[in-house]
Amino acid sequence: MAMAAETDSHRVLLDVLQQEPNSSHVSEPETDLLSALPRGIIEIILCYLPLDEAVRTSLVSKRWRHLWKTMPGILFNYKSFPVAEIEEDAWYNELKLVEAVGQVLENHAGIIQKFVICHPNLLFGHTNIDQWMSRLSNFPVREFALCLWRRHDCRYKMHHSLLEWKGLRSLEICNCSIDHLPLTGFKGLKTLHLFSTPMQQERFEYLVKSCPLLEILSYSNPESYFPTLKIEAPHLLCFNFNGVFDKLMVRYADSLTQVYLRMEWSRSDKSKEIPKACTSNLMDFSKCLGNVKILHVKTQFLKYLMHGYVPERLPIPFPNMRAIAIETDPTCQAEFEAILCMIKSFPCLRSLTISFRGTVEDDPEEIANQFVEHKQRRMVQLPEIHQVEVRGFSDRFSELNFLELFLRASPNVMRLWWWTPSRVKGGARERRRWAGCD
Amino acid sequence: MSSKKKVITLRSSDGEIFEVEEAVALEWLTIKPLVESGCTDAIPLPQVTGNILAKVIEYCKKHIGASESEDRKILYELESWDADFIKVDQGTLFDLIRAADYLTIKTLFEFTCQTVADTIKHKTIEEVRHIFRESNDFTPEEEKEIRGKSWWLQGL
Repeated sequence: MAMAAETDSHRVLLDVLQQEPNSSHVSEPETDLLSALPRGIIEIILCYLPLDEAVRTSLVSKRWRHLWKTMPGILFNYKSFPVAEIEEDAWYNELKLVEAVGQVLENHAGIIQKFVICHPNLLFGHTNIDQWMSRLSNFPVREFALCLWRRHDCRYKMHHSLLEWKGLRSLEICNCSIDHLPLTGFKGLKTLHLFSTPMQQERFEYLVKSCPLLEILSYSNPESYFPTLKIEAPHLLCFNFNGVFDKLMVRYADSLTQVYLRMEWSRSDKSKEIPKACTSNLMDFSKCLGNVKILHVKTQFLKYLMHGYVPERLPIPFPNMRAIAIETDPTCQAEFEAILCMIKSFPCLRSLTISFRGTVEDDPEEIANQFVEHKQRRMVQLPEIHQVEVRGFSDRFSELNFLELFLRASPNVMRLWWWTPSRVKGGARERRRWAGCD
Repeated sequence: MSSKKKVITLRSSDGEIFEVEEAVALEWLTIKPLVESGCTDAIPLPQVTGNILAKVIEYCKKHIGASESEDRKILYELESWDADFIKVDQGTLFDLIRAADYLTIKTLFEFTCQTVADTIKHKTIEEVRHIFRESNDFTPEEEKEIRGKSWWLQGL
């Protein structure tokens, strides 16, 4: 071969590249799937099917009969085992689910790397899940998801075998309880999603800290209250949090580029009022933003941010920020100021998404007097913004008033997306003309 | 910013020569080490024919950087572009899967596998047999036995 390899590793790699294609790689017209593709790939293709359809391929022909038994991923889609309206049917459907999972785990002859169950409810109780989990301990599970929706009153008490799955890369649990487990962390874990799975602050912080490779972290339990939440994860890329804290400290997370925050303190038992640990929540929070590119401020988190002193702009600019999405009440002056402060401090912001909250009818007169100061001063100019997206628009005067200010200040908007709760409205250009920025 | 984009040369099984930007080639994990080491000769890819390699390059060029875009319009366009791209005969689709597997291109591999899975989703067994060009070689007794074991299967 003409290629001259420079090192040994090159030579090895080139040898691998140049291996003669084996017979199964010669494609002929009219080939069947099994002859066309290596078995390993077909097993992977089966993983893209809901479990019942994957197992059903055993009926295709003798060659297909046992293929599903070696598929590396198992996905139990609730749509295959729907929860019926009538209770008797629900029992029957669940019986099918339990039978299916049992049969698949029992007969599996390969290596299970991925196991996903998403189901609204499990009426039979949780002993079945315990059995499945002990059976799974025999496999090198890398991805595990157990998402049980509803049934907040009785969470599934996670089986202890989870702790032994040392090869775990991705873990997602919803509506489970892990308080009884002595969590020691997962050395290889990259993705961790905890939904409706309450944890004590110390335990949560410790868990995050003892997963040193963590890249994606989600925690959603609106009732949780963490006084001072400290996140230490050097490889963290994406942080998604829904809960209440007085103060958030993200340390040693230089890779963090995406932050999604929600806060509904009215739902937390311990904190009935706006958390107020700092003199300026906004300035304090901005310390976590380091290299963040995408920031979402949803539900009442903006109310948290506007608490305390809101400066004209943040002490230092954040030139990495590219896109923000903010949920706001268009009649609230203080929220408006907080948004302005952030936008002014993000000099390279390109995309802005505004979601409107609240449905109370406005008083046009009152609204007309709002933000007068900004209207007179022509506000700040936002030439970098190229895309504006509006969600939850219900044609209220206050919403139009709010948008007008932003669109006037953003002369370079190329695209305006307009979502109403029921449908997408077209005519973006007309809207822009109306908004007076063309 | 002024430096010229580095180009990598590839040679398909039928001797066709292709040039791709280094950034594209770096997404192909199989050849990544070679690219990183600054290899300047044509990299031989004896398991991929020229017409398939052209499609693979077309896909990767389109997707580089675009998948992470926050621009909604780009993402929508990409989606419909993908749908057009994958309108190919089954033989080509299988070739693409093999090429993506051989070159270790995660996005293309996942996309093509998903496409195959989608073609048999919600189909009857007869239809699945037809799509995969299989014929039913079970005796009625064998078929009954399988169905009996997996009574929970739907739409049989």
